[in-house]
Amino acid sequence: MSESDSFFFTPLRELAAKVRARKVSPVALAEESLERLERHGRKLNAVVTLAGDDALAAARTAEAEIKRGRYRGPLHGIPYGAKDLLATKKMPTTWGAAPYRNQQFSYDATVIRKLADAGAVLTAKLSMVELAGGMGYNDANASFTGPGLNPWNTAFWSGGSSSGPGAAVAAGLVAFAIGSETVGSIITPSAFCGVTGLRPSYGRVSRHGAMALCWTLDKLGPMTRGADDCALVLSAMEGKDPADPTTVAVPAGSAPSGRRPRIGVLHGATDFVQPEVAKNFEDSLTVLARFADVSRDVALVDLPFGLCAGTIVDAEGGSAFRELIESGRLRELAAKSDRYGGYSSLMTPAVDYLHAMRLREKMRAPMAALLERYDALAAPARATVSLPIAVDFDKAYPELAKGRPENFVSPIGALISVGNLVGYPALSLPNGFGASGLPTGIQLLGGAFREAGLAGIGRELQKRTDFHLRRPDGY
Amino acid sequence: MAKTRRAILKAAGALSALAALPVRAQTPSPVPAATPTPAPAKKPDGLALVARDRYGKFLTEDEMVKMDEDMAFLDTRSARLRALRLENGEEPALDFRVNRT
Repeated sequence: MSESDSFFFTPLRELAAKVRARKVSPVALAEESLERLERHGRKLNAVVTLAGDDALAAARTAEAEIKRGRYRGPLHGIPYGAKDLLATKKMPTTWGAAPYRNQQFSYDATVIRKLADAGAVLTAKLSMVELAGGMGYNDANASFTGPGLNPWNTAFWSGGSSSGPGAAVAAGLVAFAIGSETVGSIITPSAFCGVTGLRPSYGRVSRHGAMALCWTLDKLGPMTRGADDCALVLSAMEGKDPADPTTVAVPAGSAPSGRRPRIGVLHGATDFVQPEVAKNFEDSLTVLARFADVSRDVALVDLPFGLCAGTIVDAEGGSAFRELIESGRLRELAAKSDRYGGYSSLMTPAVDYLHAMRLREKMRAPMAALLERYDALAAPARATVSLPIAVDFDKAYPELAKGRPENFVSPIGALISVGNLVGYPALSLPNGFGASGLPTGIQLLGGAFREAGLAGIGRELQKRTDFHLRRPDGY
Repeated sequence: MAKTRRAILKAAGALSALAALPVRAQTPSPVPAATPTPAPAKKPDGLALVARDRYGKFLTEDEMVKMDEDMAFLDTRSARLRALRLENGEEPALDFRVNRT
């Protein structure tokens, strides 16, 4: 198969129809995915482990079932990749970190099992920032598989911490991928790689078998080409799971109501962002206004979202990795700053953690009220395009700091932080290109368990734009 | 003296919105900070001394200096949290559940 007609740039629903009609073979899809993962994925540092024969066996089973008329649904026979923090009994689960590179679980994470039940074919465990960034990395070289490279420009990062899922979807190595987010790890690589990512509500998707960084913040979600694909994959992942007591049955009435969506644009959303990010965001708002009511200058409640999220991540992450940190094995981590970054986590005062959790509680009512008024809050997904591999993050794009007030609070960071703190869903959609030929994105935050509404807005936006269909050269 | 990202962001006053990202970085800071004026090396004290005693054996001298900065940041963060007064009856979101809005 030539590069230009790879199946994995096709919307999932179209690909599924071809599989169901037996115009496309699940075995051929798995072979193509494995071949592309080997050829491109390795160069992008996107792959940890290929599923190989296990993937082909699963694809043969899918093909035989479909032939017999036992069609399981739109993911049946479709190849996907999973961030390597999801336990799999047939492959190692490395958490992206050298101390765990031979870690083997005897069970599959609930999400892996659910996707297998839906007939999806796991072709690879995909790379990630070590320990999902829990030790405070400050450069792209933060995984034992090497820095995640961006398919749009390999001198730049694919984002974190779901680096492999972002790159693998962007390069068409899999039909979709599963990422995870504690504070930004789906939104960021989705934006940097020009793919669509959905961070579900906390409790919508079981975390059983997923590496814990922060029990009260971690979420698993799909990274795909389009918003419709995200909804499709989420429907196979979601649901109550006895193995994860925080999961809930999907509340009824979460479908869009049919009226024009109301979108609130955060005040100062384009302050101190790259010019192309601002322009692409304004262009997105213009398109959104064709089918939605767009209100400007919406303010979030004045609470310290970043301060609270940082304290909670430190305390919970320090606890989750206490044994590793105290063992001195942080020295084995790839990122320079990860080798000492965990020690302050262990010193986070319990009263600070509780103070942050008390402040977190105060965020819930005002955010719920705000998201009664709006179906989505909008801001750019990130202030910049992706960051160069060769430069520490805090030294990239210094020009943006010029003239910025000392007490500046970025609405972009605030929306990511508060969205995660209150456990609400968010969608990152590609919306154009900026410096160095790299993608930009828009993020939409919705009310709790209103993923269907967000996906609906995403679908409408993507009916009117084609950024989600673009593909990087050479793939 | 080289600064950690945490210290740089603290210096830039950007932490209130971004702490979750740079402090335990799920992502890089969306808005890079200005390069701070190098500060004179400060003798470790308080938490930094405790941290050096506990974990110094795992670190190089340069890394210990960066850990000192992280410990100083913990003090700053504690002060910022303390400044956000809460009533006695305001309880934490410990049993965290999301309710449909």
